[in-house]
Amino acid sequence: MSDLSRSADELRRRTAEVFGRLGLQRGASLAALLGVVADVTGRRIAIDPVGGREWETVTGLVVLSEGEARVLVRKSDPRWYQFHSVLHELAHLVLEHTGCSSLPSGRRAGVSARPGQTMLARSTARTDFEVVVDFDDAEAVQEAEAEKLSQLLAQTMLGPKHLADEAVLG
Amino acid sequence: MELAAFLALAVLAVLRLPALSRGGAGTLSELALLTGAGALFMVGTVVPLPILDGWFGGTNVVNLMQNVLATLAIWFMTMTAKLMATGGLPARRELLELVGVIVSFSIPFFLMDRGDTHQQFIWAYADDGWLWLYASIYMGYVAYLMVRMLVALRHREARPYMAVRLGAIFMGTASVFEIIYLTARVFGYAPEWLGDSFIPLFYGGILLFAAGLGWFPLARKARDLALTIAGSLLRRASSGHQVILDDEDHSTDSVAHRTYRLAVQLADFGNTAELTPSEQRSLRFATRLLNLQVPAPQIIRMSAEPKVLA
Repeated sequence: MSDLSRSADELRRRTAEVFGRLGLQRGASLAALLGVVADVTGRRIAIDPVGGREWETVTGLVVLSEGEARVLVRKSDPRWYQFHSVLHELAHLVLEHTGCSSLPSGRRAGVSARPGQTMLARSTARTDFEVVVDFDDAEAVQEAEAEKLSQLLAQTMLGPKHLADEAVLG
Repeated sequence: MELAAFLALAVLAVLRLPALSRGGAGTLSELALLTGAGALFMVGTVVPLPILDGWFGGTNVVNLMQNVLATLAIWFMTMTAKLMATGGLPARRELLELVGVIVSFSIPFFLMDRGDTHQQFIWAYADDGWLWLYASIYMGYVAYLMVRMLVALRHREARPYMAVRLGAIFMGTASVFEIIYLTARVFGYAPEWLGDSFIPLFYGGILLFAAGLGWFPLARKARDLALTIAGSLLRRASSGHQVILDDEDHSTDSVAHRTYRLAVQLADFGNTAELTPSEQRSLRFATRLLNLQVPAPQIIRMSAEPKVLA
């Protein structure tokens, strides 16, 4: 398991450091980010929109197995929210969070890890998990780190479709 | 039509004035708008031509100034397109070419007998060989720059470039028609339909240019306004919850990201509890805007392999 942050400052520093290492360009596409994450983690990454409201508070999860990470997002969500769930799961991967095969939030989605697989899920049972963090709770810290990094990614990636043209002519 | 073209370029130039200090293509495109508006001012759109030309001696010198400014405007625009396509700033050769062309068409202008201010200077003196040379060099260079611009813009995908491309075709065609018309006049023919097509084609082209280029700043302002409204609605709707938007880490966020953060929090909340009708409405409004801001395909299904290092 990777070292986890022990304070809010460390969490901010750590996520900023990891974000910097990705070298993501402003306005980068999700496909570009996926390529970067695949390179950084050395895993094949696949994203699939599956499931629906039966997932309850789980908006996305990542199933880790040897050489592969499968990101599953809730199909019934609007595109921007699916996008955010994907960023959150990719953030877990680059932060080298290791999942747990019996994650309660995974069970809520009706997805169970098979032998050799681990799972991380973005559950919204609490909406303040980005800032109110119990640093003694490893799962809470992982979620807060992933959420913080996903916001940094979103900040860089969000924008109009033709960002370069707008930067010049806008 | 000239007045409409002048107003379009002038408004756009004022709107985009901060782009002047951006450097690179931002500066070049703003210089194109400023010189373009200057060229159209010299047509007599604001100050009547006799008064304007009178300031410079009343011998049609404003016609040369108009064409020099128009050449500069089109050159700046072509260099903008080239910079966006290749990342290259104007080369020394291109700068020399520009100066060479301006000098080349200025010489016959000063050699000819220009007479007093004339509203239709070029057409009035069309059978003069020096005027033919002056106007043909200018028009020929405009047509050449239009072709270069179309080549440089060929990979740009944004829809407003359709208007810019059409504008370039119109202006290029107008220039070629004008050369043919002036040549015919030198040989004693007067195909007026050809001469009459110049103004709608050339100034129509400028209007299309302005519409295409104006789309970008207007779209940005409209989008920022809509996102700001969506953000306010979300903030108001979320006031009953613990909203954590304005902490020190997010002071530099774009308006899109500020709205996105609020929407994520409210949508997250909506997973655990029923949202009020006002919350649902504000989230639906934000969803329409945010779906256009995420750089992802309509259906997010994709995969990526890690690069295998040799």
